[in-house]
Formats: sequence, C-alpha cells, structure tokens
Amino acid sequence: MDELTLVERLRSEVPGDLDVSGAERRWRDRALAAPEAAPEAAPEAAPEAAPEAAPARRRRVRRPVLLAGVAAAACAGAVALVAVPQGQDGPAEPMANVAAVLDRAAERAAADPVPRPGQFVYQDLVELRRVMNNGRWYKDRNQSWISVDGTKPGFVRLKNSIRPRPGEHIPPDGESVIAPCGQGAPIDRPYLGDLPADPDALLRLLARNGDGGRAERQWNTATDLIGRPAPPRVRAALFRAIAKIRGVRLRADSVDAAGRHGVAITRTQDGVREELVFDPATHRYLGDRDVVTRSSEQLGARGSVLFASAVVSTEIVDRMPKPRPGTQTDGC
Amino acid sequence: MPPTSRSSPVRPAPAPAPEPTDAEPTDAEPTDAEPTDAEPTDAEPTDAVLIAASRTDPERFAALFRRHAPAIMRYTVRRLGPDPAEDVVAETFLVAFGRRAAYDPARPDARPWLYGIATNLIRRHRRAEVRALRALARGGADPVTEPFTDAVEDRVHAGARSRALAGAIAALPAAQREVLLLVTWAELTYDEAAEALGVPPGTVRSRMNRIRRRLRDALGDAADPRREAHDG
Repeated sequence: MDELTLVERLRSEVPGDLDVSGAERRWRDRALAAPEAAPEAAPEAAPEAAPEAAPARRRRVRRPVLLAGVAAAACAGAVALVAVPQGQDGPAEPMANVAAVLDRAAERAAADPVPRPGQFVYQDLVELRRVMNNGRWYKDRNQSWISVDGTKPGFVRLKNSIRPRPGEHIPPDGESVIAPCGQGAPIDRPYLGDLPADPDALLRLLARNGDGGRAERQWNTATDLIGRPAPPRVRAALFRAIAKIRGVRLRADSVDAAGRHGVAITRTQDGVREELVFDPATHRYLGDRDVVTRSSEQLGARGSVLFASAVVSTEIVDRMPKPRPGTQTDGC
Repeated sequence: MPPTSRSSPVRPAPAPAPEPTDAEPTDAEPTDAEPTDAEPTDAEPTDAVLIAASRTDPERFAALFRRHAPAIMRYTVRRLGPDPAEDVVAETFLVAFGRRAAYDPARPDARPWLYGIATNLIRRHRRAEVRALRALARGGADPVTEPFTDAVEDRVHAGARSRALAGAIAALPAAQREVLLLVTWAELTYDEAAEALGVPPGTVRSRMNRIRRRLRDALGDAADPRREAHDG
C-alpha cells in the first residue's frame, strides 16, 4: 500500500463532525463583538491582569523551524517585569535616513569574525512577552548553540522569569537537543550559512516566503531571519536588503528588551509598528520591538508594547554544553 | 506521485466574482433587507466574495467560519488532540479576520490561507505533537485519538505499520511534517500546500519526495509498491 494512503488512514478515527460551537463563540466574542477601533482612552495597559481568555491575536509568527521551537519554547530570565519601558523621545544621534543607518549596520556586521565549519554560534537572547499574549508580562531567556555547518546537533536552554499560575500557559523551561539540520532549504536552517550575500538576490528570496503583499513578505521574512546567526557577509546583505523594502522608516528612539536605547528601522502593518533597534554608536543590531499604532480591543491602546527582544550576546564557540541524559531531542 | 488535485468535500465551487449590479435601472422599489452586492443565488458565494463582503459587513465572515471550521478543527485535532484544538481554531479565524483586508481576491478558495495560519499556530505545540506521535510509535495509547474511542474494548491497538509510521512522522523535521499532513490530512494539493506554507511549489514537491522516501524506509517493504504489484 502506498505510504501516503497509510498516512491518510492514521488517526482517521477522529470524527468529521466535531463540535466547533465553542471555537465559534470565542471567535465571535473577540472578532465581532469588539469595536473595530476602540476609543483612544480605552484600556489602561494593566499588565498584571491575566485574563483567562484565549491568547490574543499573535503577531509574531516565527516561521523558521528552529526558532519555532526555540522562540516558542523559549528561555530564561531573572527579573519579573511589570511594565515595559515605553520609548521616550530621547536624544538619539540624528541619522540621515534608513539607508545610512542600515549601511553602517552592514559595515559593522561584515567586520565580525567568520566561524569555521564544525564550530557553533552561541546566542543569548532575552524576550519580553505576555502570558498567552494578553496576561502579565514576563521575560524569557533563550540560550542557543547552533552548529555552523549543520552536521552536529544544536542545544537550546530556555528559562522563564515566572512560573505559570493555574490557568496560565507559557512555553516551559527546559533544555533540548536539536537534531542536526543537514542540508534543508538554506532559509529553513538555523544557521544562515548558504543564503545569498547579495542584497538583491536576498530580497527576491525574502519575497518568496510568507504571505501578504511583496513588501510585507520581504519584511516579515527579514525580521524572522534577523534573529538567527549568519555569516557576516549574509548579515550585511540582510541589512542592505531591508533598506530596500518598501514602507521602511526611521525612528529616532526605541528600546530593546534589555532596556538599551537605539535608533529603529520600522515598518507598520495591521496596526502594529515593528521596530528593529540599532545601537546609534556601534551600529550593532540590538533587538526588536512591536508597538500598537491603532487602538483596538485585541491589541490594546495605541503605544502599547506587544513584544520586545534583545540579543544580549553572540559568540563563536567550539562546542555546545553536554546534554544531561534523557534530554529531549527535537527534529531540526 | 499522488494526484495533485485531491478535492475536498468542503471546498466551495470556484464561482466567478459577482457581476457588478450597478447599471440595472429598475422601477421596482428595492426590497428592504436584501444585500445589495447580489451574488449568484444558485451558487454559494466563493470564499473570496465572503471575505470581501466582510470588510464592510463583518458578520459575513461567520459564513466562512461555518464553511471551513469543521475541517480545520478535525485537522487540528488529528495533529494535537482535542485539548488545544479549540484554541487553535478560534485563533486561526481571529487572525484571518484581522487580515481580511489583505486577502487576495484572485483566490476564490481560502483554504490554503486558513491552513497556513492554522499551521503557524499549531507549530507552537510542536513538542506535544511529537510526544503524542512517539507514544503511538511505542505502542501505547495514542493521546490524540483516545478521547474518540469510548469503550476500552473498542480500542484497536495500532498495528506495526501505524506505529512505524507515527515514529517516522515524529522524526521528520517540522517543515516536512507540515507539508506531509497538509497534503494527506488537510487534502491540499501541492500548489495549495505551497501557498499555505509560503514556499514555492517546487519546494513542496521536493520535500514530498524526501518525505515519501523516509516513510518508505521506516515502513520497510510493507509499503513497497512493487511488492504489492507482485503479490496482488
């Protein structure tokens, strides 16, 4: 028998007439009952409140395979955060335009050391999230060791700053081994070793992933890739490619999940401004942040922060930590 | 190669976009509650028509929900079990509703779009999904189907082939598992799966070739088509 027919039969006992009324009610309550544009004065962001409602609309869909595991199952943090610092209009070194900022970021990235095959890139990432997207704030820390040539397993360690209370669901703490990724499509690999180092070729590739308009696809894919380790030339090309995406703007001040201020390259879609934060002095990429630009029931008041991350450190190392016996192994 | 046009019972007939109804001066009074964007009355409106109409009349989106939620629910339950499925389905339509203004009206069938959103949400439960498949592979009760087999004696323990298959699916990289299950369980064509995942159709084709090879390896010659041809 054909192997696909066997797959079709697997779990076919799940009936076709499942009750969807609960899902419909939840969808209606949040989609139809909510005013399309809430009044400006509406919700005081009350970060401690942990509503038991379903998670709010999720903005950040991490497409890459590894990051789906890593970011979704993310990380460690020591400090419970009650409020995310809102961006003030601080004094940022004036930068002429988007292209100038990203050009300097690219030059800076291109000067980074190049890992050798067989080595690992260690990355320490901190993220600020809300429980089920609309509950209390917490911080997670995501340490990853990624094999540069894809022949070795990787390792991820995740720790949250809080423990979930009853009714709260957050990706659990823990360690896992990631099976060697081998040679899948370059854009699906955790280390972006085989992506084109040419900004225009990269732009075409970015447009082939995700959904929405061309610029939206390019931006969404670029922001997915920006958190992944990559060779200096690819990283430089990625920054130069971002400069060419339609609708990209410059913002004088933003702040990453570690509280570091910087200039931001932004793009706004669906009522949310996504900001990529760069250090104005060193031109390093610091992290990213999502800010509501149009008040709504789902996302909250204009100006609310939905998510922030910070790349705390990136290093080239020769080995990953030794997994404890029984550590779960995930597919690439 | 499997047929690339598996059809689904829930797929709406791809009707053409409705004719504009502007230039029909009639002396009859407009009837009170009739929608003005008249659709062909003999055919169900396409998904694209419903989505377009929902931009001004959000309630029209509910018809899209009723049309597709049952199949997406079954698909999600098969992957994750009943527990997280209600969440995933509600949120799939919430995300879709929020993005309805960006929907490409040239695509009459919204299933690839909806399954693409659902796939992204299901991915959050990857560990649980793999854990359940491994339980099935080890020959234990399948936590996904257990709630649907009410009497203990009705529980059919999975055969060796199902166990091998579950183990092989658990071992696939997430991106390959998504392709496989969109094609077999969600009954998307290769092109539709590509659209759902935002990858080129060629990528789906090559992934499927790799997947089928891996599944055949895992199944041994139990699934060898040549053997079947010889043995009848």
